[in-house]
Amino acid sequence: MQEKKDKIKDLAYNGLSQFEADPPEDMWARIEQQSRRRKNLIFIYRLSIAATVLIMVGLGISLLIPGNTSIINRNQIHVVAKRTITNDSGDQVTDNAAIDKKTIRITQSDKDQISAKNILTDTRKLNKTDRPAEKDIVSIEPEKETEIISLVTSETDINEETSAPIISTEIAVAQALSVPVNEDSLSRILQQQAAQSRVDEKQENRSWGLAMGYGTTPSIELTQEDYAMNSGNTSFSYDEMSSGVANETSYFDEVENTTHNTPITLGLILSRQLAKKWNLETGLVYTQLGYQIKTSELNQTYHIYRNEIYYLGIPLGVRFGIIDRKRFGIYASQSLIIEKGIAGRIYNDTYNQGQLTGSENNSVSIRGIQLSSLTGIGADLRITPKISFYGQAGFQLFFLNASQPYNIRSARMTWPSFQAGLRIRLN
Amino acid sequence: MDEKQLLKDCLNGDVHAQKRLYEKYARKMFAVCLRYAPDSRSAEDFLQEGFIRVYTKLGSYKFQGSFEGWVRKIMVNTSLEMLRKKDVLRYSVELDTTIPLSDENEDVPEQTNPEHLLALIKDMPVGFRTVFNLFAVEDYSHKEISNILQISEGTSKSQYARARTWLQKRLCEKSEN
Repeated sequence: MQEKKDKIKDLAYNGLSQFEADPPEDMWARIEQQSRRRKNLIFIYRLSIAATVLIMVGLGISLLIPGNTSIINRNQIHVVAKRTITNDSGDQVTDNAAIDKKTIRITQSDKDQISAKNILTDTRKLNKTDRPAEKDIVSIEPEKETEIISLVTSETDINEETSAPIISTEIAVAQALSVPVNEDSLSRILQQQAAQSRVDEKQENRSWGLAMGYGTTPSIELTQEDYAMNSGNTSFSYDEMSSGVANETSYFDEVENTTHNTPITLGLILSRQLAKKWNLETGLVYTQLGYQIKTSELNQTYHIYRNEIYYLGIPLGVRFGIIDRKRFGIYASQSLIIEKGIAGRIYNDTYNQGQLTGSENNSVSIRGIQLSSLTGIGADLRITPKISFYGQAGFQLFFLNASQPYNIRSARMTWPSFQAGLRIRLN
Repeated sequence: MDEKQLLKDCLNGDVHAQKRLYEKYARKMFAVCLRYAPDSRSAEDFLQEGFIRVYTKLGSYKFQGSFEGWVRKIMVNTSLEMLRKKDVLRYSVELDTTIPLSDENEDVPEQTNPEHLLALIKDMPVGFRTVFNLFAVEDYSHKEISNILQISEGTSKSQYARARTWLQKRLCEKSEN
């Protein structure tokens, strides 16, 4: 046997090891052209990486720069009511005894309804003073005068702190005022207040959020050609597992079925509000994948090849609030996820007459990166102002699959994606 | 020209030096690619990609050992990688269980026409061909083959045994004819 084996080997070695053959005449031209093209691609690739790094650094810096926190709390107004009286000399002076100051909070619905007429009406209804009706000036202004141009006269003192509860503006104003109001002055001031509120809205807090979620897609058992390892539609990189299976099963001819485990993804997502409805999100995602291949039974013996691979990824995306109510919200999200395989293990179990007769396993390393795009629509259910549950459904599209070992994503590029978790507003 | 100087010129991006390098090794390397490729067109692709990689990786050659051997290794690895990418390593030929393994009493010709041998190897199922080339012609051990192809050593041996039986049968048939 050894001698025969050597004869064949010697025959092949002696005949072919120094054998030469003429390549096509245009081969050098093709090599030269490809070499030139490759150099151009490398330059563009490096330029793209540099641009991406610059954009990421810029984004990172903009997220780290604190937002404008010295802003007006537009939900509070400082009500100062003054009365001017005519003194004995006939001059208009401020009646210091009739100055009322109160800072109250107003809700959005209150602001929507604020109008001079409303306040005026209620004030008159609740006016308990028995002083004669005179023309008075009412100043209504935000708590922090420094942020805006003063709306009141220099006599007004507006440095009071407040801890007033949220109550109806109209009633609060009416209670704050012990004197009747000048309707024209009030209208002018309220209009200025409304204009300033619009300015304030643009300067509101950029909030941070943290979300912890669990995601998955359905598991599948594959007997169809399109999803199995030997399909021409698959795209994956041969690793120790798939190479071993290929050789042991006559390149997949003896595979009975392939089962992909339910992928499990755990994520920790940090979000930063960019504008009223827009949030920028990033974080970490951890994914576990696995599959199992059963070979056909031959002489009551079959094999089960199993693998588990683990990925760590960084998502970068945006979330847009479509509907935003007090307790409920609907959003759309789009993100790009870069994943790197961090660990893997392969198992080879041998069964004879249904009994496990042999088992071996090895750890494997995973090269390359996996890129994917995740698009989804979700809903938030707010439990408290800062905590909400969320659920999201969508689809995930996987790229660069050929660089990765065989897994459920090799079988098909696009998979449905379901996520659920807890979102916490940090500030 | 001194080969070392030629390689240095290639490293400096001298296109003429690169062409001289190509002309020196193209015929031998094309023969290597022909042994792994399922057809001539694929062999041309392997050769083209192989030389691109030679120029790209030239900086990693440490002038230790034969340069031809270094280039040949790149050609073999390139061929295997491109076979995997094209999914050509799928083995669709059913195992012929009626052919017994390696009958010791079969006569094997001492010599044969290299073109004929190459043609027979090209007809081999791709799984057999790969292991046979690596073991019989490139002279890798089964352990080295198991690392290259990421298979077990036992699988490499069994694949070679089957390839050898396959080739032996056809060589003996030709001898009889």
